Amino acid sequence: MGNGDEENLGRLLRLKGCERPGGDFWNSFDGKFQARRLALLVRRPFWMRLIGKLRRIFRPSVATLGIGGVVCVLLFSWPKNFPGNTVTGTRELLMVALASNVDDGVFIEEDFGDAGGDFCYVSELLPSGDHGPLLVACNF
Amino acid sequence: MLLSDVFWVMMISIVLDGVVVGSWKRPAAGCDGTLDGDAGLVAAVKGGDMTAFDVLMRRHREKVYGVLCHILGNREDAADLAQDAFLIAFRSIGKFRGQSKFYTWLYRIAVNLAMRYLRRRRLRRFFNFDNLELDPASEDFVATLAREFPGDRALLLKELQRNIAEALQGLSPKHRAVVVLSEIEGFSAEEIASMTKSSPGTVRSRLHYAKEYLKSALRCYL
Repeated sequence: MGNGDEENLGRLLRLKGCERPGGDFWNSFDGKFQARRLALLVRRPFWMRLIGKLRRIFRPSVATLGIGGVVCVLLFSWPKNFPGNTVTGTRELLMVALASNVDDGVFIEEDFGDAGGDFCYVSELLPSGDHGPLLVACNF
Repeated sequence: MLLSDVFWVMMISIVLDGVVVGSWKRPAAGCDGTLDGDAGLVAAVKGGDMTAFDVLMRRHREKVYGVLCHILGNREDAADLAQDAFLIAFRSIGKFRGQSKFYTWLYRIAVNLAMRYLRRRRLRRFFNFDNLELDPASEDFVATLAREFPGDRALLLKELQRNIAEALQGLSPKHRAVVVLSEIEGFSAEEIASMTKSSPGTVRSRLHYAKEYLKSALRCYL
């Protein structure tokens, strides 16, 4: 009985193996497969697609404007090459001088030079009367 | 004189045609009598011959689609996954070392796709199936069943298909895959183990459990 059940179960399951798609199934299957394979073959690698997307987002005109804007900001606001902090304007200079931790005062020197603007230098006034290290320099 | 010359030209042409065309049609040595074996076609695909892959696909597509149909229970899903399996095989054929047979490797891809698909889809889709084209052994079996279940034969077949599909869907994907590959497709335990990344012992254990379950689910037909 058991063997008979096994055999009949096998026969039942093999009925499933007799199922066949009808009509135009395989033509349609082949057509879709060819289209998908072609798409796979012409598809660019992931890194190339990523670069393409980034190039579309960051278009040359936008990039140029952005880079140009950054350059302008840097050119007009970049502090001159002096050590220490920089401030602009006499008022700020005096405020810095007053806020400094120098007990014996500060020495303020103005230089109305013609090489790129007017400059003020604030340096520490030492007890000996010498000028100490430069505290602040500014141009205005 | 002219007629005899024409006659001899024709005879020589016919002989030459037979030699030349016959050599084209002669199957390659060592193959299974159709075209080249799978190994030769795989080598051709690796060499850049895409039409060789088309031959491979036509050779195996029915079986791959059938396996997926029985595991998934839905022919649309089976068709999509069958195409996915062939695309993966096409893309990865350079990595195929020939340590197993090509169809074993292909079925492994298909079964893995089916398992992943079933893991992702919590909700079971409605299932449908194709028409039956019975072979002589199956015809005899159905005739026997028809005597047990008198009535419309076409309805009996539809009901059989539905009940067998329902019973298969009652198994877990792993058990279903094993019983489909063994009982429907006729693979050995070793081949199934290679396809499902398990051991022959595990395959036999799953098969035993699956058969016991199916015998219970389909006992009215046994």
